[in-house]
Amino acid sequence: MTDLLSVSGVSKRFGAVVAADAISMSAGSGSLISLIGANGAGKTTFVNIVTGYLKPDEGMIALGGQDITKLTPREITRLGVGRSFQIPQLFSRLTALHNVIAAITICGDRGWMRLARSERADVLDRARGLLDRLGLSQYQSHLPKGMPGGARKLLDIAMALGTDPRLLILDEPTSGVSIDEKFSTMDTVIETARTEGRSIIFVEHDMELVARYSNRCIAFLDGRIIADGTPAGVMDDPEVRSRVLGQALGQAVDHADA
Amino acid sequence: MEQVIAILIDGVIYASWLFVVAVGLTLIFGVMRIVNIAHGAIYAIGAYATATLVGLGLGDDAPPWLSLVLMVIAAASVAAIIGPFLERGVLRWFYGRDEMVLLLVTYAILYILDSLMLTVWGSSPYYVTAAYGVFDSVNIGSLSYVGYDFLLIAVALAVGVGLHVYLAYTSRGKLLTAVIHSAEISSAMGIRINRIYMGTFTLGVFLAALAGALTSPMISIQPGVGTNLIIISFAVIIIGGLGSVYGAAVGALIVGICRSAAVHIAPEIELFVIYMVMVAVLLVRPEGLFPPMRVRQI
Amino acid sequence: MMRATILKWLAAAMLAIVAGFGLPGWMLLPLSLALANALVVLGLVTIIRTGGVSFGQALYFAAGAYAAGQVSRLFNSADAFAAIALGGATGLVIAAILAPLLIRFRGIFFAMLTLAVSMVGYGFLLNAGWLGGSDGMSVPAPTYLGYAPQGVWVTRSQFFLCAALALAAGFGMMALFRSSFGLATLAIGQNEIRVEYLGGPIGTIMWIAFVIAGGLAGVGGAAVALIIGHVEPEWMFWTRSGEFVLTAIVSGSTSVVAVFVAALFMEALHMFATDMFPNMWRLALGLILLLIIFVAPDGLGSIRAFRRFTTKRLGPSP
Repeated sequence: MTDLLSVSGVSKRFGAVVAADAISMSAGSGSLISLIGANGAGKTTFVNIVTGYLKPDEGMIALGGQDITKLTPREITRLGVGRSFQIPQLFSRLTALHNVIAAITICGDRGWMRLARSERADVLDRARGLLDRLGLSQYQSHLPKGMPGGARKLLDIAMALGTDPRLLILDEPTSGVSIDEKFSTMDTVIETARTEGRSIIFVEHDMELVARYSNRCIAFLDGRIIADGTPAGVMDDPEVRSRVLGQALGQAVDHADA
Repeated sequence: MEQVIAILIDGVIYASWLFVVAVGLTLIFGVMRIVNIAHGAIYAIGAYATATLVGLGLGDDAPPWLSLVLMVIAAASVAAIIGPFLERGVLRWFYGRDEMVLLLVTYAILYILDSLMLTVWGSSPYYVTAAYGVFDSVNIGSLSYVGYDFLLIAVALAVGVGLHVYLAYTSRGKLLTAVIHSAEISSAMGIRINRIYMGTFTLGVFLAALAGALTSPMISIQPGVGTNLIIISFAVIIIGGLGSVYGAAVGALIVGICRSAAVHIAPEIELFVIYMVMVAVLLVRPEGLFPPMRVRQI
Repeated sequence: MMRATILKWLAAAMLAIVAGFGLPGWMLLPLSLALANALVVLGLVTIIRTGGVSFGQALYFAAGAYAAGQVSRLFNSADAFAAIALGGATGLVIAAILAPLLIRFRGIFFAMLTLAVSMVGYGFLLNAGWLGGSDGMSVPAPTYLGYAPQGVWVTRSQFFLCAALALAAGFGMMALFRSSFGLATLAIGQNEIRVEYLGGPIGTIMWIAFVIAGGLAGVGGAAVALIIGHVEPEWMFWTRSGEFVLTAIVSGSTSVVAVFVAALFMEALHMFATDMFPNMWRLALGLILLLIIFVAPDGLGSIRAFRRFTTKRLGPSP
């Protein structure tokens, strides 16, 4: 059974900086993986390489058995990888609805289909459905600048979903979202994706969300993967605790034990 | 051989006043990120203003060198009036917007300035002849040149050296260089960006008007004088690198000598050559020969 | 297309027929020119949607005009339809060849490059003796599939030709703007990275936009050449490209109707102002432009009231 995503020996250097160091991992379909690590540890580099924005110096990436190492983000998206960004990449002068319509039609329409009306019934239904499921219906006719930050994040994710991906990669989906909304955001996103059979990889800093929403966690440090396992297991790993989670958390846990 | 010398001298003369125009343009872009498509119109206004001042100030028995003084006064007046007015009154409302938006704003300004020129000076050509006879002819080999042409070279050198000294050695100049590298960081470090913008724009306007004033004896001053010049100026600063003073000098020399060569050897292709060089540079090395180092924006 | 839209275009066609028969020649002439210019601007606006302001559309405009002039020499016939077809094809082919080079650039450099390329063309035309050099060349009066109009019918036929072209282009471009291709052009202009990550073929879409613009400009140029009866290198000068850009600023890049309104407005302004205030119309134009850029940088077409008047949309939309 071929893995959905397989990364082997991927390395990337920017001059003297090692952004990725012999990264290897694989994920089957149905995965729910979280990526953790300090800023600059290589999580976003990993995402950029997997989605084709950066080309690795060494190593290979395969999607469903197909080598995608040399492909562009455009081609990789077409093969079924959807991505959301740390800073939402939206179309600033289109309404939320048209943002999603754009996502659906740009990805879905090919050749002569591109001459079909963008606002045709089936596309409208799908777009409205997506907005609805992510709780964005009220912003349907709003421009991104008229939406709160959390809603913009969700819109970015809605657009990624609009490409009908088998693998959804979310870069810090809850950063900038207010604390009380973090859970509802993740609930919505994970629920939506899971019922549609999509696999999810998400970058996250909040350990509570990691514990709650992923069944596998990969920890990055200085461009390397230092731990890969269940969230509980990874958070117990001594190197992870001292180098990634920080002394404070470690001490807090120790005090709780004492 | 003689033709080569002729080409070089003509090229340098043309390059000289081209440099004075283009360096103002490149400074305005370097500091303010504005492509001032109205720059040619300011050149024209400098020429018109000179014609008027010379017409007013010189009686039949006035010394010819007075016209040179009047040229500088004309250019300075144009700069003093138009510079701050355009910068504070018009451009300021669009700061922070996309570079293309500002280009279109200067394009609208061009229409306004063209209209004002027509209203004030009409469409018949003006001529300024007095100054041309100030200097004696200069003979190089068997070639004879009007001494005035070499004044242009002297002025260009003065402007070039002056700017170099100003930018590299004076504190004000170093501030300007900092802003060219990054306006955002400069502002965050306390540099009064607004004052710099006004000063730079006025300086650019002054240089364009000065070039117009100085070359007024060489041309027939009429509407449309600026529209050809602006594109050639673009060619100069693209070749040299947007925002670079040294680039403007090199670009002016390249364009000047190319044009001169074309004029002497194959006059019909004169304009063709310059635009082809501009296209070539844009395709191969769009940042120009001496792009000023810009802080990398994350 | 929605039925309502088709009906609106039919109504416009009726209006054109009535105007063609009812209006005097001195009104039909500037109307024809305005419609021909609108074609060029329609194409330019398509390019602007993808994020670049082309300052060189006059290249294709003038190329189409010269092609129209050459039709009679090449085919021994002054047929208007042949001239238009050849003009459009010329603009289209030149655009198809140049586009791959030009679309690699953005922002100021794109504007500069398109400008410079058109000026190379201008330089070429000045020296092209076989095209008349700096004097330009004459364009014989057009015939329409054998019919050679006389008297007021000369102007009337020109108007009907321009109106037909405008209606066809307008209808087609409106459909295109509303299509998924049209939405993609807007998306590219607003966030290229996002379009990449949506699987969008940016290069192809921009190339197509360019080619369409070249074809429309060529058709517009041919039409104007047939009306004026003469073409010269100045038609390729950068200021001509600039006029197209000005009209595009006024119209914005979202509404086809706005393009026609803007083109008519500019022609009207030109006509009345040059009569009454020959020096001031440029001043007025400059000030109007500044106002538009300041208040509604997306042009007239983006203003709510105007949009509601022209089409029923789903709220604030592209």
